[in-house]
Amino acid sequence: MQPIRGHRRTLVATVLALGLVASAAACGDDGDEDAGSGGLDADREEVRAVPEEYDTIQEAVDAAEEGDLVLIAPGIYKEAVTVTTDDIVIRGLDRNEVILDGEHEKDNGIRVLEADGVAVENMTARNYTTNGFYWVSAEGYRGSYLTAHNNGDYGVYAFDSTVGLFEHSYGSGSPDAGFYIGQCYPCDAVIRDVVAENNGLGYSGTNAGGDLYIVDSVFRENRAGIVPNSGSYELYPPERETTIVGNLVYSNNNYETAAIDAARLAGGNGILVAGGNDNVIERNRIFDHDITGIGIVLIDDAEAPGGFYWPSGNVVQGNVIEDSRLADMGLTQEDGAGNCFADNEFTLSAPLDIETLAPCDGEGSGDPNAGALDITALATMDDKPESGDYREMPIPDPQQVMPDADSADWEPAGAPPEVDIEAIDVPESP
Amino acid sequence: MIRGAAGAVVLLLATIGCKAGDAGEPGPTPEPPVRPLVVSAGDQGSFSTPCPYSHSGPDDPIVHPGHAGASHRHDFFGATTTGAGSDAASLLAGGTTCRSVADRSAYWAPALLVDGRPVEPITLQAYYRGPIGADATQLEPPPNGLELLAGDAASTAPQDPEVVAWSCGLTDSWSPTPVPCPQSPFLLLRLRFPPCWTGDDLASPDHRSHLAALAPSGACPESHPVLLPELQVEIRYPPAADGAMLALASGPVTGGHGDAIMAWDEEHIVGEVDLCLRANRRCDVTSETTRLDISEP
Repeated sequence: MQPIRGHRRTLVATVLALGLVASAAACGDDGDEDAGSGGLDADREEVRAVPEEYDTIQEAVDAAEEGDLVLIAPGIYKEAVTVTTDDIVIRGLDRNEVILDGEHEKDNGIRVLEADGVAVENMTARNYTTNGFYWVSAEGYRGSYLTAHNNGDYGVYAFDSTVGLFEHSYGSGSPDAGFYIGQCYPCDAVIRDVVAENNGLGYSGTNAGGDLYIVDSVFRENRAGIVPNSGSYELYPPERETTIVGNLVYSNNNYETAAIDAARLAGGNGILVAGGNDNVIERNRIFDHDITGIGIVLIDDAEAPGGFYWPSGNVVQGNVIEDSRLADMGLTQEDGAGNCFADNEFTLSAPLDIETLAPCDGEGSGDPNAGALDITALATMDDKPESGDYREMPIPDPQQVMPDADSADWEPAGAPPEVDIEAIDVPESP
Repeated sequence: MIRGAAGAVVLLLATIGCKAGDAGEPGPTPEPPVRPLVVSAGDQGSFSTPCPYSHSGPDDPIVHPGHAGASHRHDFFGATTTGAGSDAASLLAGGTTCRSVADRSAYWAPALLVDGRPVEPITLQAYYRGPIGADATQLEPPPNGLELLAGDAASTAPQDPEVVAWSCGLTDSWSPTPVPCPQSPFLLLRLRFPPCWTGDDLASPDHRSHLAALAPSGACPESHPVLLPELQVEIRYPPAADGAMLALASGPVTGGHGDAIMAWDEEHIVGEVDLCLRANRRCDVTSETTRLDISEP
């Protein structure tokens, strides 16, 4: 990964052991600034240690300059942190023990406001009234080894931001999305190796797309799994060019979750493209959904041409889909919209025989009205279960920590890694 | 985020439509809808919070302070304790429905009547932003206890839609009076409050003259030199059936108005004005946030 602004910091090999840090202090360095943070050389001015050097994360962030590392020791931090400095890294020493707690009173765990290149690593944000981790209007962002749970809107969230990466992270218990990337084109972003569960939506992305990848991740037991969508209320409609490959998407019928109304409406669907174009959905394993495994549908919007965003150009192939109560794959489209289906393992589609009707190679044939998708289940709030209380959603188990958090190099967020889509297979069943 | 809030039929095959003057509402025929200029997010700094409906009652702590039951029916949002005797101290001591619990302000508007019966509103979204054309670096945080009023309850003619406007769902088409919106997920009332303050009195006998609109130059008038964040609230109501008769508890639908008393955690509001508004940052985009549709002043 190449940093955007070239502020990569490299730890020297000799600081890999705490004893050597102590030795350095004995040789005349300012030992008063020992971060007490494992193997990192806290003598370096660019390491801002919390709470050893700064009482709060906010104080350390405010003091940080571009290229600095804010290093946080285990503890519960009842803060709402705002970041406005470019190219800093905020790292917890233990993902499960560095906990930002909003106590259901503070708005955001970490909020990055128009600051580019900010990376947040290896910590938990819980009990915020709005979001766990939030980037807005940033070029360059990264969230790694993050846990966000029981937050009142989103878990891990990037809005109006580009050049990003969410990885090795977990989001649960949000009424909107566990992971969200929206209002960006091209987004130039990757979501990989994340788990979203017990949310209203596992992933949501309004008007997002363009070099946007959601890969190798798990979306389970949300109301709905992965939901790219279009809307005129944000910039850059419609949603388009999102690549969704190699994900495990199952049992997104959890009606106990907290849920905004849109999540209530979308509940029971694994992957639901609502008014999106030119998305690629390949080699995902999807099962156990009350409505569709993969649904490609329109979305109404008074400001859209004709009052709707219609799906077009979406490619659905090579997925393994089973145990969907309405249809493994469902489609509503205008004539000639070019949505296509091929090489999927499935039982029932709506309309029937969808891979003949809308193939990815050649002309389609058949009756689009035969077994057409009954969109009623997606179009009415009638009988949709009410939202639960996000504060009462299950508390997650401890999550995998970042390797060598106390000694690893740090670097600000830069271009996301290239994703070798062709190398990704259908994931195994859990 | 999908904005299906308020029971929106987000994924729908039915035809969508809502025109001003569809049917039913009493009073003068509405003016043609206005279509404000839309600016990109980020042109002005802003922060916002959703404040769901709290309660209703015949109280008005600005117009009839201390006189419980003296007003027409109001719907209250934000502060959960709002009543005739409310002031900044009592609001700050009470609870709030706002997601940002630092906001304990009271927001209210006359109850919307459908076929003569009050309907329970869904929610209110409070936006604070730098006024278009103003020098954002001059913005000051709103003082607690400041009383604000937008619109005129006594108006018998359509008001300036830049101040009072209604729409069906999320649309750029606004009407000066409400319509039933049977095909829309909700009916929306937008109110904009004046941002220029005298700098001393938190209220005034006519409840208005301590505040003033921004001059076309983008500056506050000399009489009201203190530039405050422009407060815009959007209130969502359930849609009414086609042909339903709409009115306000204060009288005709032309009398749309709303009020607020500021009661913020002081450290929080000072920080948000500094971080978001003075620096032209759009700070908070939530599930309920709608794109700010802003007309040139």
